[in-house]
Amino acid sequence: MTRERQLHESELLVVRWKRGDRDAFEPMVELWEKPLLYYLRQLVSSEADALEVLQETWLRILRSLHSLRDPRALPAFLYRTARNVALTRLKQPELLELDAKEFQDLRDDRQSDCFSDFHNAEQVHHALARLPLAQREILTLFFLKDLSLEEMSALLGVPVGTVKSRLHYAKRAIKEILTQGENHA
Amino acid sequence: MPDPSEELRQQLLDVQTISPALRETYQKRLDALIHPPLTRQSSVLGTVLLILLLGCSALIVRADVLHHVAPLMLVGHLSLAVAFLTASFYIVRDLRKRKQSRTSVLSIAGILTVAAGILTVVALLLGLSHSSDPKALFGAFYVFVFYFACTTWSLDSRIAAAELSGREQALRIECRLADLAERLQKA
Repeated sequence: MTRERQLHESELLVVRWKRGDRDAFEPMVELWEKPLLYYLRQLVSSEADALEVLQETWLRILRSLHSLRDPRALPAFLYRTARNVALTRLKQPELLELDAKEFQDLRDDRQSDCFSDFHNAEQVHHALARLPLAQREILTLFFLKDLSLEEMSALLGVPVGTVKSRLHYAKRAIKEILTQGENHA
Repeated sequence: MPDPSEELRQQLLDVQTISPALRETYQKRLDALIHPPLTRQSSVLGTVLLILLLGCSALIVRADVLHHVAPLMLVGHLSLAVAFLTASFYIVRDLRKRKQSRTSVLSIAGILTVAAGILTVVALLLGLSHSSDPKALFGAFYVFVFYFACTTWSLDSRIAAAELSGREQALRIECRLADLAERLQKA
């Protein structure tokens, strides 16, 4: 399913839910379960914890979906809820505090959306696990492509410029890990 | 030509594996969340409500049989009794299935609103037919205010529902178009 199709489908499911169709929730779970689990798996330490957080996320979504005014904002709503659950349940302070100095010189760095450097998904997946938590999070969001830079900025509570600079550093770090892996091979 | 970022996204999602045992536990909990079984509290509440509704229906019918009631009032009473019995039917159905259904809640709310509407009209007509009696006129006036509030609320809900319905149809069309575009791209 293309991203455009997925967004239309999501919006449709939210509209159906708002009209009182409870059957719309199950396909919504099917549609977003994999990317959310992938994101959470990068935030928490174990598979069991990720599934537990995901389950709690669905419970919160179920209770608060009616308050979502714009159905197009569903992806941002889902990621925000998942992140909040992960933060409150698993107390990951690293997600909240980042060393500002690390990123201060890159405010004007231009963002490239080039994916050609990341052709082997399995290697990328393993390399992600070796990154620091904050870089892992931003890069996961970038690879999943469900949120725009503005939405990422709102999710992380930092300016768009900071999102760009974090992404720059994270990409550089993952490329180094990938290159080291190729050299060892 | 496939989008490399889309491809990478899909491949990353496919790389992710979950142990079957954890998956099963998660799925069971998720099913319970999506299709919630009737809790003990809901069962007790449903049973109490059922007894009340059946009791009220019996009292209404009894009063209409034992006492002389004006035909207009009889219509109001009967519509209320029918609404109570219909609501009881939905409650019994949910209690037997041990599941709380949203459609039942909506149906009960709908039928009770219709009965309240009929009663309102009856009260208004009775008030107007005794126009020399200030008490009846005041009653009719208050009932009319209540009816006006209900109608406003009902209209608002219907407009919102119609807007959502229109949006749903438009989105269905957009989904089909996106499907077609995807197929054409593959072909």
